Amino acid sequence: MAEHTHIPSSPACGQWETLLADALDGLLKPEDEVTFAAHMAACPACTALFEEARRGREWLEFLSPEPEVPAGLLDKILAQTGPGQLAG
Amino acid sequence: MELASPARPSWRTMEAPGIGAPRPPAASHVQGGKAIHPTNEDLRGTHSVGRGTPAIAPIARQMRVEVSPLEIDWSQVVRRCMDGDSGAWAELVRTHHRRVYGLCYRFTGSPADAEDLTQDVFLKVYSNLASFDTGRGSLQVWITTMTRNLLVDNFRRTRNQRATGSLDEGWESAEELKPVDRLTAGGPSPLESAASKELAKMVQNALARVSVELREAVILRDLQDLDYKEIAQVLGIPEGTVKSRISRGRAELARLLERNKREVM
Repeated sequence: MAEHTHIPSSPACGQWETLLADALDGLLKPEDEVTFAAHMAACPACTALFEEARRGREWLEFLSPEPEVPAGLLDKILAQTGPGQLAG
Repeated sequence: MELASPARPSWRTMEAPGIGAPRPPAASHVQGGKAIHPTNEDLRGTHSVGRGTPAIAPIARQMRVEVSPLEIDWSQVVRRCMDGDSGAWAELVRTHHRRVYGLCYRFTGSPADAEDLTQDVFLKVYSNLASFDTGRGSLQVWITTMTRNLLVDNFRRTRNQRATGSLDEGWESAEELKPVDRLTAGGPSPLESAASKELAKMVQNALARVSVELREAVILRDLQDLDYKEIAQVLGIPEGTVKSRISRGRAELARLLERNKREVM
């Protein structure tokens, strides 16, 4: 199995790749659905990319909680900036 | 097909992508022959944009909910800041600093760097307020653009000094959980929460290793919830390129995590 992301080499793969983000984000236009599915069914490399991108997107859900902002950061920013402060 | 069927971990309740969806244990619905788990948006009853093709699930996006900066006329606030209104400036910083910190933290993987960079961003924002132009995008996009440029400058400046953390950390800790502890039903137990935190740490470590131009696209889309057009504005590249970088970035992240998993097992 390839260790590197499949980089589309054919025009059909390139066209398909621009639809991939739409597809995974649920934004694929109905008129593009057939093209998208047909190419993927015929192209193992794009199928592999689809699966990797889908899993990568799911992995990112572990990072959906916003990181906790350090205590005092807001005060530090306001102490350094704003009207009356020497900015920049 | 190693990547299509990654090694199954010995624990079950906190499952990872490709193994099972890391989502709350709720009823799944079936779409196109595959089980799709409901997103948090489904569970809240506010359905997301949902015209996906079969076998493609919408993703939970918790970060979208918090701030509603669009309801405020930010050009007014900016004008008041420039007129010396410290309350307006405090409002602007209070509303935007979490997102800026989040972007810096996700990009660098370092709380200390993120804190310093966030302060730098607001120094830069304040001294450039006069150049904010609503005609060229929202305040959020403007601040995000400045943050991103600062991050990239910082990355270039420090690329030779960076020490990278071990990708193994999350797996090692998660594997320490005993199987009996992983079989609890219902809501997340303290152990599950701990496992989830460890997995988040591992994903964060891997994300910090994704190539910069792919990483920034993925973070802006999946963690900062910008749409493709806004990301194109921030990065100064066409939308088609944005989409391709997002997909390649997601794929690179999965590969980094799953390759590491194979090495650890």
